[in-house]
Amino acid sequence: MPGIKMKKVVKTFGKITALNEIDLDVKEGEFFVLVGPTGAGKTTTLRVVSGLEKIDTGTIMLGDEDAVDLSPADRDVAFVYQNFSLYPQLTVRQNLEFPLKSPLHREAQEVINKRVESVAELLHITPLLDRMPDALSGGEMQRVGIGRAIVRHPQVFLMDEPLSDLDAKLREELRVELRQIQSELKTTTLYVTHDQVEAMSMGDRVAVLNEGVIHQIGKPQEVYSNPADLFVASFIGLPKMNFFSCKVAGNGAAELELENGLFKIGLSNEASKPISKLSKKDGLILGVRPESVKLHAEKGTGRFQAEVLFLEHFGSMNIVNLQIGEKILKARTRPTYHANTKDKVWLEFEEDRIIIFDEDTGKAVPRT
Amino acid sequence: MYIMSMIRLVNLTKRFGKTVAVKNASLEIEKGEFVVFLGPSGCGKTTTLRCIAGLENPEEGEIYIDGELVNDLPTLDRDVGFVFQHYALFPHMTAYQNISFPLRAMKYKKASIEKEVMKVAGLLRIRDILQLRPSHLSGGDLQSVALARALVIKPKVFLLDEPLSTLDAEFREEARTMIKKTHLEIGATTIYVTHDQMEAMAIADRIVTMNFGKIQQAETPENIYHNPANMFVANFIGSPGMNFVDCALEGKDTMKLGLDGKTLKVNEAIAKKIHSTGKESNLVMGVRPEDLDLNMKKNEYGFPMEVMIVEELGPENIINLRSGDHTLKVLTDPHIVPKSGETVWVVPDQERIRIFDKETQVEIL
Amino acid sequence: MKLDQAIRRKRKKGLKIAGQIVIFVVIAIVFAAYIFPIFWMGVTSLKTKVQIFDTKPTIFFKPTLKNYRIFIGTEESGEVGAGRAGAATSFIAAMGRSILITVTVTILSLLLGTMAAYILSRYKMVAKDDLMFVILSTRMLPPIVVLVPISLLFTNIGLKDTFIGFLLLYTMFNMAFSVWIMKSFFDDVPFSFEEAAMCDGYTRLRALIKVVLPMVKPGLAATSIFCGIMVWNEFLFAIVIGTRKWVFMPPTIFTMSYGTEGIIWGVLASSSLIYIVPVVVFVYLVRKNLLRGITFGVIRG
Repeated sequence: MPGIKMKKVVKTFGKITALNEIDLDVKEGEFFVLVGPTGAGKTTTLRVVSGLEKIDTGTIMLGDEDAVDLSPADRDVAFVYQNFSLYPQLTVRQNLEFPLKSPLHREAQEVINKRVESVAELLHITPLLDRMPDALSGGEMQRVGIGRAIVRHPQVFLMDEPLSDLDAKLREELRVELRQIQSELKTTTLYVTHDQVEAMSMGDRVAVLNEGVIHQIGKPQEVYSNPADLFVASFIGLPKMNFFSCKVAGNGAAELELENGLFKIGLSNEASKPISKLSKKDGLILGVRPESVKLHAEKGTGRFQAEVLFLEHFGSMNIVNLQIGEKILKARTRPTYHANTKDKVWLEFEEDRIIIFDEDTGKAVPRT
Repeated sequence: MYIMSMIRLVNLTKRFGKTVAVKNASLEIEKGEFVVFLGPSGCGKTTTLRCIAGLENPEEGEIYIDGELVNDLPTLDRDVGFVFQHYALFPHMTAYQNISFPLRAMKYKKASIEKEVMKVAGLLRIRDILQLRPSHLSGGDLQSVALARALVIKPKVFLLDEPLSTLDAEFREEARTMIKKTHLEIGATTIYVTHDQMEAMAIADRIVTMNFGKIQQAETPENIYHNPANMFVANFIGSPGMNFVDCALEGKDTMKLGLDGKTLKVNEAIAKKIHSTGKESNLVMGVRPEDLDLNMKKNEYGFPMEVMIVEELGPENIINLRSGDHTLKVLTDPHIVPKSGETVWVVPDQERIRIFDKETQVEIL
Repeated sequence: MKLDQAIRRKRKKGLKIAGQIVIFVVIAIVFAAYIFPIFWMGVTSLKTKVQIFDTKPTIFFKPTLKNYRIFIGTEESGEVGAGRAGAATSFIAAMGRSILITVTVTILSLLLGTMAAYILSRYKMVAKDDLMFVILSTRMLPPIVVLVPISLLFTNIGLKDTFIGFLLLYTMFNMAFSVWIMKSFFDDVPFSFEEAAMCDGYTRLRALIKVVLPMVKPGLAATSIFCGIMVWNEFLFAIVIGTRKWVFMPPTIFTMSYGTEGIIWGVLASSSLIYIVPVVVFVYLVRKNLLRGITFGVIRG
């Protein structure tokens, strides 16, 4: 199973630069997720790796081979599409057999039958083998689509948002199944999605892509806890991270003034060190995730007041929408937490989870 | 004084050929309520919405809007605003023209048309794109224009058909909050259709869960979550949904589980309650993923399972466990990361165990 | 309240039935209007000359197969074809030629049109819309406008009254339809189907044949019907360019129906009626393939 190496890949469509010097290194057997908003260049990346599009400059290696001049068939990659492309005139079984009957494979019918049956079992679609595609549900169709990719035992799986057209519930189930299957097959996989929950759940590593540029690559937890810049911090995480405009109030960065003086927070010596090293004291942004906003009933050191707007109950947790002056922020609490609109509460930010960003460059200030 | 409900459905049934899309649906919606129809694809939620709007004719049953029987009224006389899943905006008109279209159709004067359009546009913050055509608008703006068009006639009832499904995940949260805020400000009776239970939980005053054309349960999000009427609702609501394990009561305090013969000790209160119902076998135990704890050591009040996949979502982890062909999900804090293949003991919170009848799938405890 | 509703519902049902009867009657009238000429042709073909000219049109009479025998050639009639100079040949031979030209032109138009349509559908091109327009524009002129120039051209090149000449001419007439219809069907098949096949190891051509073509069967059926009928019925160029050897059925029916005393209605009727039969049979055989959209996707509630 080879890895995928992309170095300084550039792809333009006329005047539009879809991929702007992409560097990607997918290890053997890794489940690598490329996540970003629509139009970021995720699908283009997949198509370039598969060979369906040619690149302008840069190199693409599949394992040790330079893949740039290889046709899609020769690259031995299998594509799974977002919009199920099952051949409507063939049964499910015939659809699964199709890749194995191509000029490149030419397997014996016995071998084909065995493979089709083992794949059907893996994906729980054995009872569907003799049905036509128009008799399948969305989830079943997608399983067959995945099955058709697996049946070839390709070197690489390329998946283009395969779950995004499915119901929310089905997505939750299938993403675990898909991940489980991949870890058993150990096939190198490049998976693309705009849903950051999918990325967090499934990736061994994730890359955050926007407008043809990769902002950060790392393990999901790493990207979540230590985002490299504002884009990554706001794209990853649901509900979104809270952002406040920020200024050093004096006292050597032990005190920060937020939202033009709307409120202040104090930092310990440890936390204030990296900020005191900065040359600029203004034009900063403070980011803190909703689960790191703590609510208290009473005043205390380092706490500031806010008013409750409304609560969202999600069963396993609540999101409290709060307001300070004109600014709205969200806090995540246990499901048992209760408050009424216009209640006053005292907030505290978990210090080691605060991230400071430079407003101009968008980059995060490293914590050490 | 009897205050009439804004929308009333009585035994609504709709068929498409041999398929029954909606079966005997009865429901009452109060004025100003934000009700969400929730269910998987094909459950009948959109069909019910379309019947209320007048876009479909039911075979049986009655629909009342504001006390009036509307079965024979065409859509334009029902005073409803409809937002379609794929917006249905006229591509050759500007946003302004699209929004003003219903008012022009009703022959409003030009001055009042402008006033109303600008008001709605201001509310939805789309004043600066009014002169653009749909082909030049982003997904979020298109959705706002579709909303504006439905709102501008100040309808009695506001109907939305999966309005967020075409948006990227990251815009859905904002758009959802905007719809909720709009509702808080205008207070129109709203029915919102979706298959995403998180959306439903976030914005609904009441959730109407549907499956196979039938209404399963219609209550507040909290009630539906903590007191699901049957297994479908219990599993559909919640991210992840409730876990189910076949079980039977053995003796005074032990449950035999359908997990290759494993057993679980339960406290007396539960055992007594099961005993009193008279049914001790063919049961299903339901526990939510966040009500399960993981122990590394053997625990009688738990049962062993093998760790399959750990999903690290950021603020929480989902541990996927397996025993033979059965799978289970546990929701934990982010620092709990067991290794794949490890055996752990799953300990349910006894206060939060629910029992269902295996055949009827209805809750009995 | 309940009684009122019950009455309203019954009235609604009554209206529904009345509406359905009205629609049925309208369709019956339209159908009759279409069928009657053909029915009358059938009746006429079984009448003798005397019966045809009877001042009281009758449906009940003693039928005769004389007109059909003249068609097959077993009965000689000095009258047939005597009114017009020119190639009076046998009906059967003309029918054979018509079948031959129709089948070959249809196959050729289908082949060329489909290939062109596939390229136009799949590949990026400069000014593609303009090219499509140019192709369509070939059918915007009434053919009679180009009758004289083409006739002269064919005489000069030596294509007049030749099989090749007609093959080229009719195929050219059909290209516009063929390309436009097939392109629209190809556009409806997402390119990802071929891409998936190509990733699996199929060449583009094999992907086209094995994957895409089965999906555009309705398009192929529709195109072949259009092209076939066009050639089958073509009269103007057939009679001008097909002077001696390549005389097709429409001109033949025309010339053979002229007798010394005017039009021989009986023969006209019988030959026309027989000429319709192959078309009806063909469309009947292909009818299932005209259904579109049988396959894609599941309807969601």
